Amino acid sequence: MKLLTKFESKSTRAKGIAFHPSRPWVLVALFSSTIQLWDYRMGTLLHRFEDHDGPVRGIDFHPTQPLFVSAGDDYTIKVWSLETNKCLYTLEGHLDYVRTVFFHRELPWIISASDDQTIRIWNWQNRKEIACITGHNHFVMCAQFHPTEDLIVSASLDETVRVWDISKLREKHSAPGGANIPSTFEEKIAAQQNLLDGGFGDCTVKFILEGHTRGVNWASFHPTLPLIVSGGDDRQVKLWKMSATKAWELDSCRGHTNNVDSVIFHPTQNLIISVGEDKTLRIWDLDKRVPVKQFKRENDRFWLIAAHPNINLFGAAHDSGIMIFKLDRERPAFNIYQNNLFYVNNEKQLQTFDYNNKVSSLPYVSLKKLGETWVAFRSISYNPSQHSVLVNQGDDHYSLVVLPKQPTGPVDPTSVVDGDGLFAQFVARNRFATYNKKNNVIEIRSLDNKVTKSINIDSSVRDMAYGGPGMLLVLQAKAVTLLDVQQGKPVASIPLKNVKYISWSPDGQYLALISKHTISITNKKLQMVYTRHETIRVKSIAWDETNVLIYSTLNHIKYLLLNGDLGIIKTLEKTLYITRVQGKLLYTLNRDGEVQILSIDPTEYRFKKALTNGNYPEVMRIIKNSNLVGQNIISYLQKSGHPDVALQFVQDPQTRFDLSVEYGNLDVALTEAKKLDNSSTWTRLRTEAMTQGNIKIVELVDQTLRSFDQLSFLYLIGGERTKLSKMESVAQSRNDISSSILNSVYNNSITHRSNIFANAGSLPLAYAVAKANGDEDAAAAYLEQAGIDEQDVTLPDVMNPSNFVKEPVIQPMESWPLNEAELSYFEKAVLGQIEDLSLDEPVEDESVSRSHVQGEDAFFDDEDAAEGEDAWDMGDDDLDIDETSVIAPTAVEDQAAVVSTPGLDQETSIWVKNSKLPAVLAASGAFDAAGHALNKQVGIVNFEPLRKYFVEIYEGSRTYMISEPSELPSIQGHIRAFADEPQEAEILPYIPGVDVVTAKMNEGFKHFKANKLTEAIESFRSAIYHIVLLVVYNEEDEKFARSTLEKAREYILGLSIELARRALPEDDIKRNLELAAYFTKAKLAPAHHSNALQVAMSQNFKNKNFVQASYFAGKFLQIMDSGPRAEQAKKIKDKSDSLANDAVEIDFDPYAEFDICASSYTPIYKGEPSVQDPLTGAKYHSSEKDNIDKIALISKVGTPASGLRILI
Amino acid sequence: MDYFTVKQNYYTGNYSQVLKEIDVLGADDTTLFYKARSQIALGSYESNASAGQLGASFDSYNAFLKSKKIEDVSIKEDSASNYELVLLASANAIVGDYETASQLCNKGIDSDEEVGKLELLLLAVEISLLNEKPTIAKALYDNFVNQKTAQGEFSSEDELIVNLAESYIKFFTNVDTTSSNFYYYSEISQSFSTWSAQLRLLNSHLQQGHLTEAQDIVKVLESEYYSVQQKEQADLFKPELLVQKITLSAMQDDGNIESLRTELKSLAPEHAYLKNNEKINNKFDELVVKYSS
Repeated sequence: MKLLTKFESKSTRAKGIAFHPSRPWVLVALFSSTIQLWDYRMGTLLHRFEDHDGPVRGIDFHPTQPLFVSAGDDYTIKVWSLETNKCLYTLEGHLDYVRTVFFHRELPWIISASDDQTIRIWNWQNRKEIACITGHNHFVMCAQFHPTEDLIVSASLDETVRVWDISKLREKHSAPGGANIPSTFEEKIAAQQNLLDGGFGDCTVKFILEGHTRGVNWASFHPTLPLIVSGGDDRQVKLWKMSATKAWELDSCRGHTNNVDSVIFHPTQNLIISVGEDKTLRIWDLDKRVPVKQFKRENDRFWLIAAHPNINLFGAAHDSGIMIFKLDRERPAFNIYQNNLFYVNNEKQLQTFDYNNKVSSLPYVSLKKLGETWVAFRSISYNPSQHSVLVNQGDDHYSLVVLPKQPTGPVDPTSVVDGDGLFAQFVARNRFATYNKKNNVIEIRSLDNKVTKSINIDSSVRDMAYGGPGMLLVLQAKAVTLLDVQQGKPVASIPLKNVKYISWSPDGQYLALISKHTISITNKKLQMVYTRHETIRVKSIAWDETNVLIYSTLNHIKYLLLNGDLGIIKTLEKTLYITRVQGKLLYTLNRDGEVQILSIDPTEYRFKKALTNGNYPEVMRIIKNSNLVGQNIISYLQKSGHPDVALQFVQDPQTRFDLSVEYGNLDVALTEAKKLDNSSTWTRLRTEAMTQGNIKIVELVDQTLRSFDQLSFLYLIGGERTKLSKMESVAQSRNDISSSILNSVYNNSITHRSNIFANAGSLPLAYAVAKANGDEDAAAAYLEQAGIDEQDVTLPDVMNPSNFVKEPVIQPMESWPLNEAELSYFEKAVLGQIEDLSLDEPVEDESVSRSHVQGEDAFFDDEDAAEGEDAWDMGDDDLDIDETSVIAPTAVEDQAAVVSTPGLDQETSIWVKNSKLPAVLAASGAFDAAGHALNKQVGIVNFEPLRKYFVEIYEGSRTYMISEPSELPSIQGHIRAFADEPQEAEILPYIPGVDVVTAKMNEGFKHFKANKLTEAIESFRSAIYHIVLLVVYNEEDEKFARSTLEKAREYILGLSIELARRALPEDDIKRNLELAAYFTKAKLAPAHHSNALQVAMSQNFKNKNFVQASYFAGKFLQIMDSGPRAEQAKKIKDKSDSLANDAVEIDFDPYAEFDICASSYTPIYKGEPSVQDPLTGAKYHSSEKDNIDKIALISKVGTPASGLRILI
Repeated sequence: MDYFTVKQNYYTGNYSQVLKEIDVLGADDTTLFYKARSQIALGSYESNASAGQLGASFDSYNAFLKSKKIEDVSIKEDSASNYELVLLASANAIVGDYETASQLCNKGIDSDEEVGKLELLLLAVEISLLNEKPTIAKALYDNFVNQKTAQGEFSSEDELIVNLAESYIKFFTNVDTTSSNFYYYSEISQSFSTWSAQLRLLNSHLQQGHLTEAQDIVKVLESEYYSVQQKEQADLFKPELLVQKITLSAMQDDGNIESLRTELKSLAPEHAYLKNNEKINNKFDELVVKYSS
């Protein structure tokens, strides 16, 4: 057993401690008068409560309300709000130090114990004292409610422990009428009086437990059993038992060397935990009352021990703070092999959980006797080859336990090999590794626990884990090393600190390693791929099928992708250890050693992964089928460079505009800009359009924004002369002089420009423009207008005409020529341009294996008599059903002997010894014996057709392994029916079973449907040959095989008749009609029988045999009464009935009893002499005796035979 | 010298890698033995006449492989080293003289010379199995292992060979088929993506009647990685794959067996399977004749 410290606080002396029932909070009552509230998971001090005057000793959280209570040496009890962190009120009444306070679990009561020798009960709702229990004649050091009954236990320095009955107090305070809230003056007086009488009337002492020889400091009830434990200054822990009427001392636990200040029962295990001023914390076995373990602090006396009400945590208050700890590991030991989880439950029993069927097995073995009782196993390792587990006992011992074949319950294992060493781990089917701490070597051991190899290690090993075939991962303090076990050499190493657990990805390419707060992902060569720090402890990891890492922390399930993307999947109330992730299911083990399956939503990480991998169909599918929305995913998409994907999620025009601008989709941006219609949006669009050289949109924006000058410039640079000149007119009409000048420059309109100057009152400029451009008339006119002479004007020395605007070299350009951008996958998908895009959720593949013994219809799963369009062309096109020919011509489309066996080897001798069935003899190579048996059983004389089956049975029970060197002949191994058959008397060869027969029959039906009758006959015959050489292990299979043989016979007979009919000359109508009629006598499945009936019906109708046609139509309608074929049959029947005569007399009486001779295809009427085939059971006229059977072509008709044997 | 990697590659059928590894190691009889064996396996034998007695013996063994005449093997039994005995015994086994082959192996196993003893043991086990004497194979194996164990630890390279010998015995005698022998093949195939490792695992699946798994391995071996990227091995082991496919086909009557046989006949007409097939067909002929009269 180990004390695993989870949190420690440093402070002055702590006297009290209390756990919050659901949050990771702990209250600490300090001797300094402060109360601290800590988050022990994060290690942060959340608040200090300062209101007490002097040391605080008692502290307790309310089980459900956001309240806590405290008490101390200032005689007061204070009730605090956790919402405001303020003291709500103070309960006064005690006359000396208050030692402990506790809430009642159910009633609104607080119990306090005080040095004033009283125990008081308070109603915290009405803030009244409701009982003052006296009786102790010294300080009361502790008083607590019983968890379920109306009892109190108290401990006092008067050396007694007392049990009080408070049932009357409950009755009184839960009586109707609100007796607990006195309203009238009289009631108040009465209540006061009652209080004074108090303890005596409502709370009576039930037991006084005497035994301690010094003052008693603490007493606690057992959570479920009628037990009390107490500790005192006599340094003893005493265990008391009580019944309804008495209580007595059961035993004492001696060992503390100073006062025992607090003692409790372990909430779930049979342990007692005590603390004392001897600076020790001691664990005792409740059943044996012997010490189990002790922990000592160097300098601090312990004052109090408390257990968390719900989880396996303890807190101890001592001289310099508190410590939160748990006793021993809670992670169940487990190991996964293929689809099975092997795990040790809380009863130390080994169970498996089948991931496929989602069921736990019964326990295989009980491992209780391994290791120390209170020490949890550290780990297990499973060996499928030996069906055994290595159990690391938690100390430096391991056991190799061979498991029984089947789980039958928690039995003691029959084969256990114990050894000294740590971290035992299988490394091969017949080897395991252990760590020898003393010599710092890894030892490789054989299954009989002998060391076969020792590998020296440079620094001490913390754990060892599976490293792949023949490899071992060695986890050290500062590194993880991959060790090749066979060579004894490290092959890779990575400097990672304190790695505790690992998980290989399903494809073996990645390794996830976790230490307390770090997750690292490496490739299989231990090269770092990604590392991440977690603030909360990481507890377990597993990969899903697609290499997404799923991990659990103390309170979350999270995912991590190989690129570092991560997120929270679920919040946990209790810590779980993930063992496997399969799709939406998360398989975990909880701390009770049980498998817990959680359902998770993998959409988010699948989406991110699909996006990262560019798996756009998957992305689209997720978008369509999930409700993955929200700002988070949009910003994620933007950040990860997929605004085009984000666009699929949003409707808001502004967001759509932003996203489309971001990935340069001007069309969408324009659409959204039109909706938004504000200048900043237009301006952004213009900038983006300009960047892309999309003149059209720039023009549109400028027009919209009425940015005329920009527009003019745009036309200028685009060579849009016409539009440019229009802009000039527009400027003029707008009376915008500067714009007009600008446009006149762009358009090179000299006259216009000089006019503008003139009109605007600048005749000198108008003159200069006209003069410089050689327009002397205009220049003269301006001079005249100005009233001056040319000589009055001083012109520059050089005057050039305005020719700065060049002629455009290209014709008006609409847009900058860009390569046509290919639409993104998503745009295409949205536009429906992707073929074969299936966005539906993939349906879980439910492969239902069909039993071959479901009954006759088992064959016809894919045959649908009414629907199936088959290839049967009845040639009914020309049926003249009535003069008006109302029938659409397309409707017809719907169509044993004991023998010597020399030359056998060892294995085949066993086979033959075990069975003399023909198939076994054939597999053994005893062909002669097999032939003999078949001849006697079913009269087979023509063996040639069976050659393939004999040879295949022989060869299907042998496999050739390459020799070394390969030039040697291959070594032949045998294949048994059951590879792990333990009984020699049951060993038999592998022989294809009824599945093959089923497959052949189905093949026959397919050919039938496709109207390939010859092939169908071959398939049915093949089924018969397989049945001849079949071995079955139960009567059900035997029955199936025999009925299948009959079925195959009927099909072969029927199809042979039909083939014969088709081979007839056209004018042989009588025989044609007879064979059509005989075909209907074959016992086919309804789906196929309907074809035979339809042939007979049509042929008879066509040949004006209306009575017969009506009969077959009637039979047909019994099978199928709807659909086009049925409609046709009805019409034929109606028409035939109206005519009611036969043109051709045929040898077929539907109402007579007869069989069809399988050779002559003629009726054998009842009473006529006939013979039967011993194998197929086909009937023949007696003249056919001794001929070869026409059905299977192998047996002699009429031979006396004993019957086919196939059952083992 | 550390031959571990050389032997590991050799016994998993990775012959090209053996040749690469040997280039790094120095020359001695063991490296020569594995080098020449790998070259023979790859069909690229180069004369070792200059490499002393063992080299000359290999030359003659290689000549024998072409002629199948035992007299071509120039090894003298009395002066032969263990490695030479391996060659001589192999030659005798190839011509079907299993008794002589066994005697030769035993001679070396009983000698004091340690080098090549393991290789002789493996061969002796195989020959006993080919001779359908699994009890002798088991006794040879047990004696050897007990003796070795008594002397001290097995080295890793010894273990490689011993494990292979044991697996042959278990395969032949159907022992631990679903447990340790299967996991032996499974472990090797997981560690080494070679043809021979996969083929042996395929044997094991067939022996267990695992048709789906067997079919999967066939697919794997016909995938690009094995059939194109490892073409050298693919060519070498193709006949063995065909034989296994024949067994698989026979186990489920999928109708492919005839074409597989035809292909095998063209690739490896001398294969033990074909000889056996001929034998049983002859036997069947007798049956047909017997009842047709």
